[in-house]
Amino acid sequence: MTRRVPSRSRRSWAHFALFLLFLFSLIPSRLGAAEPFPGYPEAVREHAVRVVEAAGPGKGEALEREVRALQRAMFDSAILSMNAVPDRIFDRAAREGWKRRSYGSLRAVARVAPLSAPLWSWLAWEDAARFRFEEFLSDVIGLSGTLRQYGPALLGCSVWLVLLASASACWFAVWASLNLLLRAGPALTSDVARLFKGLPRPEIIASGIVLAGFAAPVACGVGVAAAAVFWIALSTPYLRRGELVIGGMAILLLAGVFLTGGLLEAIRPVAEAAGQGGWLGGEGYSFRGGAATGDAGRGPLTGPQWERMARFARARAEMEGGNLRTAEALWTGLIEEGGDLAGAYNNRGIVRFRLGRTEGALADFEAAASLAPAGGRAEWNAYQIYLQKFLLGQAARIQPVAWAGIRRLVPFDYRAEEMTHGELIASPLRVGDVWRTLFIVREAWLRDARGSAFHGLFFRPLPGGWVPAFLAAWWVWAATWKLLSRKVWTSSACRSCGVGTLVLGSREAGDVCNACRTRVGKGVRGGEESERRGLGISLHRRYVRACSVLFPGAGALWSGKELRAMLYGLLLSLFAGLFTVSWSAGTLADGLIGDMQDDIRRAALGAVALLWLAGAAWGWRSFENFQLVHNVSGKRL
Amino acid sequence: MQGKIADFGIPDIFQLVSSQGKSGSLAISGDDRVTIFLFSGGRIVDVQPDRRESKSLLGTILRDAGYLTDSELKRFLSSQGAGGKKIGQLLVEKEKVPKEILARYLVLQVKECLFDVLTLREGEYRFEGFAVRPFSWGGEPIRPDILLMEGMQFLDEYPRFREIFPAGDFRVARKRGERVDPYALSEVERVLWKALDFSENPDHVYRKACLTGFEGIKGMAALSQRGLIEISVPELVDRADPGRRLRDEIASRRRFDAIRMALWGAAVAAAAVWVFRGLLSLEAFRVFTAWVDFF
Repeated sequence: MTRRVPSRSRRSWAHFALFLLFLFSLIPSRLGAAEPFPGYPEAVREHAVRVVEAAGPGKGEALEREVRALQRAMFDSAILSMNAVPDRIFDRAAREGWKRRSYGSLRAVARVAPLSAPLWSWLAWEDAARFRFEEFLSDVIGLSGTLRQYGPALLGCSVWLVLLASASACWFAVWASLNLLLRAGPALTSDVARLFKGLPRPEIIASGIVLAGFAAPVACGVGVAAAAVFWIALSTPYLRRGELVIGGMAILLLAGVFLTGGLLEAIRPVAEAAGQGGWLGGEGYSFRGGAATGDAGRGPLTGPQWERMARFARARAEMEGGNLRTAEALWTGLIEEGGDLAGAYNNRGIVRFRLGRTEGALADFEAAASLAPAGGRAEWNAYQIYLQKFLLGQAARIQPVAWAGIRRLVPFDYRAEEMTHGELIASPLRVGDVWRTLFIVREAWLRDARGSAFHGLFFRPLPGGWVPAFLAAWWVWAATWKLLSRKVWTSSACRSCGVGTLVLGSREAGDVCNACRTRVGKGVRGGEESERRGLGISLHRRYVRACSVLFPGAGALWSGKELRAMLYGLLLSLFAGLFTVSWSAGTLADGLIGDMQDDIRRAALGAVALLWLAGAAWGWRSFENFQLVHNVSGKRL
Repeated sequence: MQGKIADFGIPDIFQLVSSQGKSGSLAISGDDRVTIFLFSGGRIVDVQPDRRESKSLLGTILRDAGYLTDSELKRFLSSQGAGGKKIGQLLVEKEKVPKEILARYLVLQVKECLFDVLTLREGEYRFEGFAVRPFSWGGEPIRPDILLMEGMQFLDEYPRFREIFPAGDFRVARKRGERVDPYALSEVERVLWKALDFSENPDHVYRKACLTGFEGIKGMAALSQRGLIEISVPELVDRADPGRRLRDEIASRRRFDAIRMALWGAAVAAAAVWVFRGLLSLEAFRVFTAWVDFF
């Protein structure tokens, strides 16, 4: 019997497989390698990971325990908020398929991420969608607290509002320009036909030219704003006063959009400092490194106020990272500089307490409390030291103030009754006082606007420097036409029956023909004339109805309801703008923001659809009534 | 102001508007037609007649009077449709008719229409007050009270003169070889006698003489009594169906409008795609997502 020799090839395959297994273990997986909470101390990271793992449907009590443990660890490192915690939980929920049931877990972790504006917004949105009024109010209060205390949240929301306004303004310009052009279309066609009256059927040539005038910017790929101004300018000679107001409003809003482009360009460096890992966002996400003065001195973050804030953020980062001596030196430097000292005293007190210098800590807390008696934090911290030193009389004296003070620290959910010894509350970096300086109109906006993304997107192919002149030219054009209309005969289409007449002077005086004023139906002239008038009325009605359906509110413009049509256009544009902003964020952002914006997009789309239908019906009905008043409605013909 | 003619007579309405110096439009409807008079300061500045045969339209009057040919009238009407101008203004601008002649014919048109509405016994009137500016190319505004007096007189006399002539359509011509001393005739007879060179159709003769139908028939009766004219009844001839021409024209306009609407629809669809790409493209999304960078 021959001894069986092991196959070499089979053994080599086994070695190769083991080698591959070894290699795979070296390749970090996306989830395994990505540090979920970079920059935080080890103990805090561990607790935060446990919180994320404990989250899930029906795990309320376990999660509460882990959240409380994480909060204690955060107190040890003077960390106020870990905005990454709800982000990681939501990521996990989305990955494991319980995103729709993550509400309970996310509400529970609001205690350790009170400065997360996306979390509060998401909770508020969910409460609103589920008609939970009390929770909704509490979330709105939490969100407002976050906006007041956390700079990036306030800035982000401000920029969101600015972008929403810009998108809405663009939609309004599109709505207004198309409506006004279609309103002026018949009269414009008549005037163009006058140029070709020597040719047979000049109305056909004129219709083609007007259509080409409409389609040319579309075919050339001109930006939305540039085309809107062109269309409004085309229709200007044929507009009533109220319609000119709509056109002027659109031009003003577009000027605002142009300037907003400059604002966004100017504020872009702030986003780098305020985002995750930036010094402005250090209270929500760990500030990892950077220059001693943060990024202060760049862009709009210039000046001693911003430099002081950057040093404050640096000191907070050192404090959170456990570098207590460096932190103490930085706080001492800030105190010696002067300015708003309550926060610096309070934070130096915490550092000194951690260093074991209780007397110095107490002195700092008392100094902070005397500087900002209503602050709450310093009183609580002093109260804790009194207890530790068995100064029970003093502790009892300030206990009510200390307990009440930390309860008022919205959006922080501090509960004195469950807080234990040594849980001191740090003072956060406050950006709320200086954010307004970012939004003061300055010359740099105009300069930056010329090369902004908005300029490239909406005003192409105009060179940046020409845009203000281009927008101003419309006003000159409108004023010129107002003067010329006193001398130049121009066509006017009767708003009721569509018949063309030549008018001189005020457009209001001639925009309803004599036949319609006298309410004679189609019977001004007998025979052929009557038939022709009937046909004209019927075609005009079809035109206005088509306009009303395609461009809601158009029928109201034909009926002379300019102001109401403008208000309707603004409302429709607002929701269309909301749709644009929410769809863009829902497409490009993920996590809580992406999810919430997806929901908002659906709601905005529904609102736009409803408003569209309502506007179409309103315009249709208004025009029908208008014709009825002038005795040219369907029933009378 | 509105009401029934039976309650408030047409002369009274005109006198009221005239005496109060009102401006606006007075629409008088009755006998299946509507005539609109435009007043400025209580005087008549224009009229928009309503006649099934379009006899009272200014273009038709001038054509019948020989100032325009059929083709010229059609051309002016089509250019009027494109530009919306009044035909009188077009004719003066193009120097086709002198302004003074046009002014006379505008007065004639107003007279015709006023005499015509005076015959109404049933119907409605409606006055709408608004600012009316007299036309720069028209004549002087007309005092309605003077016209009313003439109108009432002719209204009384018309049946007596009309019965001299055959009922329905008829033709008139000078008697051959008849020589007339123009100074022996009245002013109306003289212009009619002269206008008989122009046409045998009495309506065209009145037009050429710039007389209303009432004035014309009275003058023609006088010429007939003098034995200066021959009266005949024309033979009936088939005419082309005007209804069919109108139907063709309406169908053509409807087709053109449908094509135009379709083209506009396509342009609007292209614009919708373009707006979508401008405001809802990835490029736009990147701009509108700038706020997320703060969180």
